[in-house]
Amino acid sequence: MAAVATCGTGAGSTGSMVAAGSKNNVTSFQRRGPRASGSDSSYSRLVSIAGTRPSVRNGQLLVSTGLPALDQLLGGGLAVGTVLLIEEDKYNIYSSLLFKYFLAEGIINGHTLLVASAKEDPADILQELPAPLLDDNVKKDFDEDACNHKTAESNIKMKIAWRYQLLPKMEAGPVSSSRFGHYYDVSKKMPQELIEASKWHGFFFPEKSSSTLNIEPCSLTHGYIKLLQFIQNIIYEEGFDGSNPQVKKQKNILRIGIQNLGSPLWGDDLCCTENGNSRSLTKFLYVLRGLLRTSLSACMITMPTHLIQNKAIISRVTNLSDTVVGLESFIGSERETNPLYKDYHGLIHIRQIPRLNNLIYDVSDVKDLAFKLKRKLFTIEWVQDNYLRQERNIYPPGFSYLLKQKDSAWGEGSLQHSTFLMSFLAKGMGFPFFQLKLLLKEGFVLIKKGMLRDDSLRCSHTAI
Amino acid sequence: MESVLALRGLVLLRDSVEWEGRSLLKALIKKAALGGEQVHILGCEVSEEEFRAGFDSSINSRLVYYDLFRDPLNWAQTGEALPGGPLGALQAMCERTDPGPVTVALDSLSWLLLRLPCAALCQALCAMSRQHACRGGGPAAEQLCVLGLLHRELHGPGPMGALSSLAQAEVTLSGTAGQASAHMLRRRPRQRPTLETLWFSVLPDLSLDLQGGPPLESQPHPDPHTPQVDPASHLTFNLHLSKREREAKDSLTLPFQFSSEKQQALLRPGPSPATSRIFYEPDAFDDLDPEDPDGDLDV
Repeated sequence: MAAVATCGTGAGSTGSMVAAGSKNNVTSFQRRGPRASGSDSSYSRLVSIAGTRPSVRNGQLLVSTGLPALDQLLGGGLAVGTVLLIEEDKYNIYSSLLFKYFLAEGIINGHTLLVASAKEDPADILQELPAPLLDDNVKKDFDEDACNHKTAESNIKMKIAWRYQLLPKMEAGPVSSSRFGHYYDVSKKMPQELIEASKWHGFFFPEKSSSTLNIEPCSLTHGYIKLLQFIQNIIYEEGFDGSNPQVKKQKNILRIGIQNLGSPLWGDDLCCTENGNSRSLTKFLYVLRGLLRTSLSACMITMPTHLIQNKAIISRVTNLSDTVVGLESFIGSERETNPLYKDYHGLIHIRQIPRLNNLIYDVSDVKDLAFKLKRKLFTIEWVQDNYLRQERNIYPPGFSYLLKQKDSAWGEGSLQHSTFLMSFLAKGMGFPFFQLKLLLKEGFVLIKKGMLRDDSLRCSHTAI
Repeated sequence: MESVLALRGLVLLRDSVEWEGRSLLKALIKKAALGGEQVHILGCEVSEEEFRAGFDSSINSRLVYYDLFRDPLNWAQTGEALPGGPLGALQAMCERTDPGPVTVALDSLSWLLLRLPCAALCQALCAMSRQHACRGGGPAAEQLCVLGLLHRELHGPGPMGALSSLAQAEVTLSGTAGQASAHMLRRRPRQRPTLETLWFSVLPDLSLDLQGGPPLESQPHPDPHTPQVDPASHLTFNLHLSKREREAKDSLTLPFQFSSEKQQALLRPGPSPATSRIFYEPDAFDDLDPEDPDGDLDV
């Protein structure tokens, strides 16, 4: 598939990434470099903006959220012109991390950033972005994590299917060859020169507001009005909606990040009382969505919904946002002692996915998703993966299993043997493995185990 | 308790009717004053004389006291009251602090929360640390400590939650059998919050006495034994069968399994055809011709 030229404009990182990719090339397909204009590509008539790609399902223009695992769960990425609402966890540790991933992805791709916060200065937020991981570093880190389960067989697996180490285990769709989502190292900070080379606007509410602290009687709180005006100005002046005749430059995406929206620091008493000014936040979201739909921008908002006392407002806010992801951390809750969750730091709930130019939702089937913040990476997994992992070492993926129904009426070796061939893809989720478990429970007996013969996985071994 | 003062930022002292927190607040103030920091106090709930009782004169001379108790609404118009009401008082306190380590004690934050809009109070508290940082030249996290006394029973979950989300540390006072305990929850910016419990008592001269633990005879069992949670239950799929299900499964014969019962059933002569008959009543439109039952001979 002809890939849209979507490599980021950050010169240092992408140059080395392309070089590393060609070193390890096992295929005759060459990746298009950033210099290729893609004139003979079938997507040339689409706007090719750095860091975006069209959705494979409906052609919607998508940007990455900064976390490739989250991109998959949202159906490929965040659609341009929509709002991603993150419901914060109780101590705001992981939601602020997702916020930083979003901004870091914008810097790597060369997008313009707009950071709005009422608690921290945007300049300070940008100083603490995670550093991007380059290609060979990614492989090393994944190998580090996988070395706990190293056996002789999985050694072979890693040597052959080396590429799959680059993918998080969640990926179920086709492998994207161009760098749409990047990986970041949380333990390191983004280099200063990348931040300075990027274009960003900051909105720090305590500085922008007038010094009076009295509540104004209009329906939108003061902070929200100021923020909306600021966003509108930036969109108009920099030409993200194309209405400014003076701006005639190459199209780019505006990434808007709003932190802690709805907290009392914005002047909104939504979290403090049940019967406060409940319309303010919903009006803000409505106007914001209108601004976003008419411009090339994508917005991520983190909101402390655990503080909102009026539950009806949470459902209204959910309806007014496009994509809603909730984080629930286990710190201090009783789930911390549950052995099912012992390896994870919290649960991630995909509460809503938008239907954009579509009649059906794009939701993944997996419901029990948990996340874990390792030393360097933030991973999202299916919860039962952990439970079944020790069993998966007995029946590892990448092999095929021949099962026979027990007490079969026909004799051994006859053609009417009822046999099943189960082949697990190397990037399997829990489900194919689960089928094997069910069949074994039903009385099927494992006869033979063999290597997988499936050319799409680049294994060239014979089957059973 | 040294660790408490080592932490800066907004510290909430949440007390209740049974376990009051003002004595702990005064003990912390005394420690700060002895440590050479500037101490500013906003007194709203008790009179100045009552608050200053217990401190010796050297410490009393170092405390900067802003009195909102005697004349909160400034009716006396004496001109020495702080302008702008309680919020103005907070801002004035902020402006009058010199750069360097400062401890600000709010007695009490509950009083302010009941009289000011919660959002405005939160903004003012955040502004205090920021302005101090601007003036002082050092990061506010190291320099300023705001101790706020909060009475748990006075406020609903909304304002308490909002203030908790802003605070860098929360000290919840409780206790058992005459021994006070402080549960400290500390939030660091990018790390997991830590929770520790300290047992203490405040001596008459307002110094803190830390004990190792509660008195032995009244030590409650920390947790009832939580049963081991079976990870394979309550999943979206279930790998376990109940007893009934297992019995039903075992007794089921598979359709293509040629067991002996089936064999016998097939070999046994079936029921006589006489037992299965078709009953048909011809109606008016039927024309049964025995030679041409289908009625398609064109004769």
